[in-house]
Amino acid sequence: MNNASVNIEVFCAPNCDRCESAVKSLKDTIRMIDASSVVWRKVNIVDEFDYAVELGLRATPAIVINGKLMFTGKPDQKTLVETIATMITSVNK
Amino acid sequence: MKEYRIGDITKQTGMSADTLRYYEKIGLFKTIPRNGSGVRVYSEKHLSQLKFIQRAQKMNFKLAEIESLLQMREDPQHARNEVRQLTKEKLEEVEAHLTVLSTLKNELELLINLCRGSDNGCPIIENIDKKDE
Repeated sequence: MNNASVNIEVFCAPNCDRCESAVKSLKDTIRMIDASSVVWRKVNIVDEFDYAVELGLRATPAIVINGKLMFTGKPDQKTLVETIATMITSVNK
Repeated sequence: MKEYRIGDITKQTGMSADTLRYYEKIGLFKTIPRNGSGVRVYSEKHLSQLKFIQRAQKMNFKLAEIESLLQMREDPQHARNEVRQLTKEKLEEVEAHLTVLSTLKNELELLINLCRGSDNGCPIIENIDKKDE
């Protein structure tokens, strides 16, 4: 078993309340699971617009895990926990 | 078979009568048949060709190129190799445009949805400003 990390990017638009809510939800989720395996960052979509388009984003908030668009909009906590936990398991195999 | 007068064609395509007569004069397509009174009678096929010309012009194809492409359209099986090659090149140009258009569409779609997601302000303006810098 190695300690590879799960890389999470939360794409937010400026002044977007739903985006901030998604960030909070992600922070809460990381607290609940094995945080040492998770690297995350908040991305201002205006600053990294081309990257967002390349990833296939169509709206914000959006959550990208290991370079793959996983959620558009704020996912419910349970789904987020399950998804991240599955990713941690798969990268640590 | 449906027939059209020049006025019908101008209405349907938005091309002027002068442009239509010019295309005929330079041989972009064969002479348009006349009725007993000497009035031009266009067919469905002419209309289709004119619409093709319009699309090709939107892609900035030259008239000479369009003429060749119309030949290919008329008789694809017997088109000369140069015409076939030109058609391939134009296809590549169109595909490149499609890629650009598709990216632009995705960008605009994302921008629209960003605005929808924001309670205050519009990131479209900010993003355009940044690109201009």
